Amino acid sequence: MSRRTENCLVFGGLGLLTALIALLSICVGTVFLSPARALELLFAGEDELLGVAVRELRLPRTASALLVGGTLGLAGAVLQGYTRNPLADSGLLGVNGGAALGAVLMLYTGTFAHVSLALPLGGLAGALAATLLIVALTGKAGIASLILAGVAVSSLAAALTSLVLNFSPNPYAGMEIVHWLLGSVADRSWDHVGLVLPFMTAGVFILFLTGPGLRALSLGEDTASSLGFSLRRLRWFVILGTALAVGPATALAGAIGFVGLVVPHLLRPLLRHDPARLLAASALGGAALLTGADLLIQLLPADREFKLGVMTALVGAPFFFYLIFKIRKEYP
Amino acid sequence: MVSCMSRGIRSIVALLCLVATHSSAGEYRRIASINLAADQLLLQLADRDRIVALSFLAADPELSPLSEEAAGIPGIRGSAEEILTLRPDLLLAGPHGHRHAVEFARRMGVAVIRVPVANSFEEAREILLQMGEVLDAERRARELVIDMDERLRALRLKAQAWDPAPEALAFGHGGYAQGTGTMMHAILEAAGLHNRARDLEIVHEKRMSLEELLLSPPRFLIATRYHPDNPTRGDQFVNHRALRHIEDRMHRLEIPLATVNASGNLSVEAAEALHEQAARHMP
Amino acid sequence: MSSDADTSLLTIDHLTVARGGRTVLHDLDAGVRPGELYGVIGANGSGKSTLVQAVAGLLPREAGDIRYRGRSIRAAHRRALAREIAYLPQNPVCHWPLTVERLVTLGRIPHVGPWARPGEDDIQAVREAMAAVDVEHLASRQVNRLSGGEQRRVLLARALAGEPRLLLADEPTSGLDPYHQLQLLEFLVRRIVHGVSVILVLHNLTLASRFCDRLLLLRDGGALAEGDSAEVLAPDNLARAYGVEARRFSSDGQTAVVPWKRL
Repeated sequence: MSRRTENCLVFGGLGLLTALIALLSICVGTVFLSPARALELLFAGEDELLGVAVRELRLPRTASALLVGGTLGLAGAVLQGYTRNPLADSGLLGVNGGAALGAVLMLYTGTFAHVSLALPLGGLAGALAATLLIVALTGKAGIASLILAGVAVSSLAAALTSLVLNFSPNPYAGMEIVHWLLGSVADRSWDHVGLVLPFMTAGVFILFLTGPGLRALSLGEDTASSLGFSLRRLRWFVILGTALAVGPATALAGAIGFVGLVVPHLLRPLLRHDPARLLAASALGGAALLTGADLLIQLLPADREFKLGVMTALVGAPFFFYLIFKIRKEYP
Repeated sequence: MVSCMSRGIRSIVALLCLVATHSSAGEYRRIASINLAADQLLLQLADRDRIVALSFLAADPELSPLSEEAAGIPGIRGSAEEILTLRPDLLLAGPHGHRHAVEFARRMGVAVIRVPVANSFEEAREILLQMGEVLDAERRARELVIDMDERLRALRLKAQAWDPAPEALAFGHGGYAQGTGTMMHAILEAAGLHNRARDLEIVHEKRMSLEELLLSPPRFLIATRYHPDNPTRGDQFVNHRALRHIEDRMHRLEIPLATVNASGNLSVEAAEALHEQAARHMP
Repeated sequence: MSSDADTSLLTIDHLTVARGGRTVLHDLDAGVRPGELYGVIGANGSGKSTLVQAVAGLLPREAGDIRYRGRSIRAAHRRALAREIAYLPQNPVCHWPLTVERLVTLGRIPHVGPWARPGEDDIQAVREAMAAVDVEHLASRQVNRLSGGEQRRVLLARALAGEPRLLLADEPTSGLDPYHQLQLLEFLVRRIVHGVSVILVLHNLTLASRFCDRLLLLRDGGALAEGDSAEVLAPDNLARAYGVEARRFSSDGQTAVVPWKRL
């Protein structure tokens, strides 16, 4: 199969899947709509309440899931490529935790009530701090120390989050934040999406720029450098891109783990392990996975809302076990 | 529903009687409370000189309806150490929490009452009367009950004009719809409103979909708010942009959190305020 | 000791390089001529790998200069230099199970640029590189499934695919059996014929003696000797550099140098 047909198949397939899931997700809600009716309602007038529901409730929800899932999938692929480590993921490395801490700080000091940008900025700052910490802690280290550093950063972020909640003047903060941390894209409005979109766009753009460098890094740092790549620049792109993309994503949807771990893993063989082409594929795959998970949540006859992060963890954690098992066999 | 409620009341009565008979040696002179609801009861029933401490929330005007009366009384967080220093002869605590402090107080020989939460005016009435007994303030308690019942009756008379009762939905912190079995439900009904949550068979509280709210909006939407400068994520639910499209159909009423939470008989004020606000939008 | 600037492809001029606070190369002079197989030998820790990495532009210099075609590599454009000089590290790796063809194509990056697709020229160069080290038949295999010798050849093909003027190979024969050691060196000699110069780090003195045109013998970060293989491999030099007595054997007009006993 030629490279071009292969690309068409993989990216066309993923794109189609994502579009299909996105379409289905705007058909599902209190009232079930046919896809044709849902599309028609997108352009319905102001006084058609069902149209308002589709445009201002379902669409931003779907957009949030697509954005957050795509970002997490992409960031996972970049982190795995950069560390050349199949266990890297923004959640496991504590970037999500750092972002959550930043967002919680903004939420419960009430800062975000005055400056609505404070929320994504808080997430961004937290994610940046976590990423810098991870890079500083590990350097060129192997799998074990990377995961250990991730555990350390995650725990630190979680502890500081609890501390912030302890000091919060609002007695309901604890309960609310526990729910929020579980991750959800329900009831998001275009205002929420609009706030994070500029940052996430910038982050996604920077992350895509790392593609060729990651491809060269397949051969190790020295060879990549001898091929004309600046490793310093690549490192900063990874750090900034991850923080810009994951921070605001967490501020939008809470801490959602495992998407960045699972998606690149599943797609890598389809792209013949090319770390650069994996980026776009993982972004599409992540968007499809998270939107699909959210669709499933809406279809589940749950009395209480089933949280998105819980869903991804239920799928992701066993997958993680499987990976550990596989790696243990490969590196005895 | 009614049988469920009366069972609730019976258990309250049983609980209070148990403690009351345990320590009826004489009038309690040094009473401390580490619970906001108990604070309100204490402030209404006991003379100030008998109160050695209240919960630290008692003086917060956003949360405590009797915050003015609480001013000047020490506020405590309910640690064992505080109890050791204060040496109260009666400690009032909430139904849950402060487990170690409560056990410690019991070991010290302090009488402890875990005051239940009133989830209806019937329960509020029972709790008032029982607490009146415990605090040797039966007459004061009866007066308060009579006052509450009269105001409720007055509200009922005024609301009779509304037929059928206008529909309303109330959202608590976290954006949860308040269903039957909550004080908010009692407040809505007392104010002459029909709680939509009852039709949706929501017991206690439940997350509702915004779409459901948007597609069939009730006449009134009630949001309780914590500190205005300390919003919570729950506020985002009722402030969602999509709800602007039904602004002309669904009126927003707002009652301060202080009159809903942990207020027992004082919640009648919330019902009166709600009725008054709703009346402005009624023909 | 350094060669004339005009005849030299690479000139190493009073080079001092430190690593982790330790001076590894000290005031080193050396020169590589076009079209030669230039061997770098010396005891462990004498600075062989450091020299090659410094030439590849991977290490900062404390003092001195490295000039490629008369121009300091510090002043050269990174990518332009990558088109001229290829680097094959000691124990080269591939972290992902790429196919052989895709891996070799990575060597074209300096020519293709990061975003373009490989063109006809590139595909041709990749084919030639694979043919040069006899791995064409492995093109669609995954590298991780190959034998050690095959992997080494594939990674050499990656370095050759960039059509470099100068190839830096750091102990490419380590870990290979005698057959594959000879095969790899023959491939390198064949590239010389195609106008590629090679700097080769070696431990095997016989291979150095038989295949290299000239040698640089390092001792404690300085040049102990540089020149024709026979001169550099003089017993006295080897004794000072390695602390061993070496014996020489001749066959087919070539000399084998075998370390015999410790001094």
